[in-house]
Amino acid sequence: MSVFSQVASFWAEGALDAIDSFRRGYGCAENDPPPATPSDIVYEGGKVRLRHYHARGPVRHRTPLLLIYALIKRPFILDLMPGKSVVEKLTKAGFDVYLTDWIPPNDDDTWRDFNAYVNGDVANSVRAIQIEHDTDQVNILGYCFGALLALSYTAFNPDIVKNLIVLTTPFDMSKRELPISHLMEHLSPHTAELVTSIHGNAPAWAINLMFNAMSPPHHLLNKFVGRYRNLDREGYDEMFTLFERWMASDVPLAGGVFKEMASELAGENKLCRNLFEIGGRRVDLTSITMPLLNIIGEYDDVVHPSQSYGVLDAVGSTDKRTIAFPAGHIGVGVGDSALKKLWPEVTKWLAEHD
Amino acid sequence: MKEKNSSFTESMVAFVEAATIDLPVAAVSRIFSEDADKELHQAGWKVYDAAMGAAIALTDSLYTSPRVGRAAATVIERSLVVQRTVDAVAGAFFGSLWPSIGLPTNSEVKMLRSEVRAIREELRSARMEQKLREKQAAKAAPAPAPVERNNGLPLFLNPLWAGWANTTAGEVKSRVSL
Repeated sequence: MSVFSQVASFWAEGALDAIDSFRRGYGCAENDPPPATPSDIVYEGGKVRLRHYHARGPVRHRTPLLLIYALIKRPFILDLMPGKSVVEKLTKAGFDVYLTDWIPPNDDDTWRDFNAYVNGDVANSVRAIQIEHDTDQVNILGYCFGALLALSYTAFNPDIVKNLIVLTTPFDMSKRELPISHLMEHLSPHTAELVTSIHGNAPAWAINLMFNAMSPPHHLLNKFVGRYRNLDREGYDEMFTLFERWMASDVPLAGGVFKEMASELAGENKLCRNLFEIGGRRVDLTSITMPLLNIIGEYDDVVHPSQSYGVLDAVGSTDKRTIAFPAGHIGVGVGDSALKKLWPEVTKWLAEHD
Repeated sequence: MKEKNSSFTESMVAFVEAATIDLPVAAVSRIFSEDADKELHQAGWKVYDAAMGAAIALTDSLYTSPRVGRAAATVIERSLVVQRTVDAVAGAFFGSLWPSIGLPTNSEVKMLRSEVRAIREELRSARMEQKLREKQAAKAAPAPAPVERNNGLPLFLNPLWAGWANTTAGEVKSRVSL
């Protein structure tokens, strides 16, 4: 088959998938691929389903690890397929892993703000882990938007969190290195109000559109050409299909969170300036004093590295470290080299601090 | 003469089509095919990568242009305003139309759905609570000492935790009798 017909068939497949994703409203648990690692649901309430992945292997660590995933896509990227799973890597290293599998907000959840997620769902999840695991303290790892929830929860509950890891955190919003952020800065604060007054929550299609708008040439053509060029690579096609499925797994962002994100975090950069309030309480990052690991993707084109470096200066921890890994936003999680080099480093750090 | 002219036109069209479409397509296909010699093949992909790089650079420069940014923001905001107006007008029209023909309004259907959803969530929460309580009870005494919070209250008295007794719950679970 010639390059043209092959790329055209990939493109048509992609276009049909995009139409299908739009038709069914993007991400929901029913459309997730089969998980690579088995899990139990230990708690479900509010808008969270807490999954427990049991530790495996000869070494067992005492403190369980809670993964707080972003609110805007399905979390199966962390457990994509055997051998390409962060969760698998962590459980094999002897950690009991818990994952916040967020339930997409519906029309009744437009009121949900950071308070509902941080002091409600995350706090409830931690309490469930404390009971389930019979422990006082937990380790927390926040991924992307989840890192903002992790930082906020930890600032309120420093005694409960033993070690904190934040991954590709959109922290310092005053850094606008990505081209798309220039486009966003022309939107008035009124836009978020308009979106929520029409749709209630920020719609999944709008979030999907925003991700695709970050690099139109890539999403319209280059990724299909890339698929053609890598056809000979073992496992590439399967990975591509799974990855595309994840890219179309956007879920709506609750109206309250969207407004706070647009006006207070992106607009006024309040979290970075230590002025952000949740439920009437200031998120004082200096109260985070436990060991902290800040992981950054050097080639991240979703959260620019410059936005994440500032975390280290903002917290009160003395034992703190940044790992700048040569990978993109997703590569940090599921890239081959990240699974081979970065995650063993993370498990080593956690084990040393257990 | 007319016939002659028409066949000439047809020939010219065929020639132009072959020269500007078929030939470049065949040439490009040859460059990108695996049978092409290695250097030519690599050169073809080099051209493609350069073109893609230029396209990405062009998009980025468009995004960073204040004029484009302002235009895009205006389009987004105006379309949202129009959408809100259309929604309001349609809502007002159909809101009075449906009851007049004996059908429920959108808000009534939404309320009914919310009720059903809330009942489902209550049931689900109650089941989860029960499971957690059983687990907690099954674990041998003594129970772990509650972690003291900054405000001096033990964690289980934290009013934000809506799942156990002694709480002033915030969400649906408040309606679950424990």
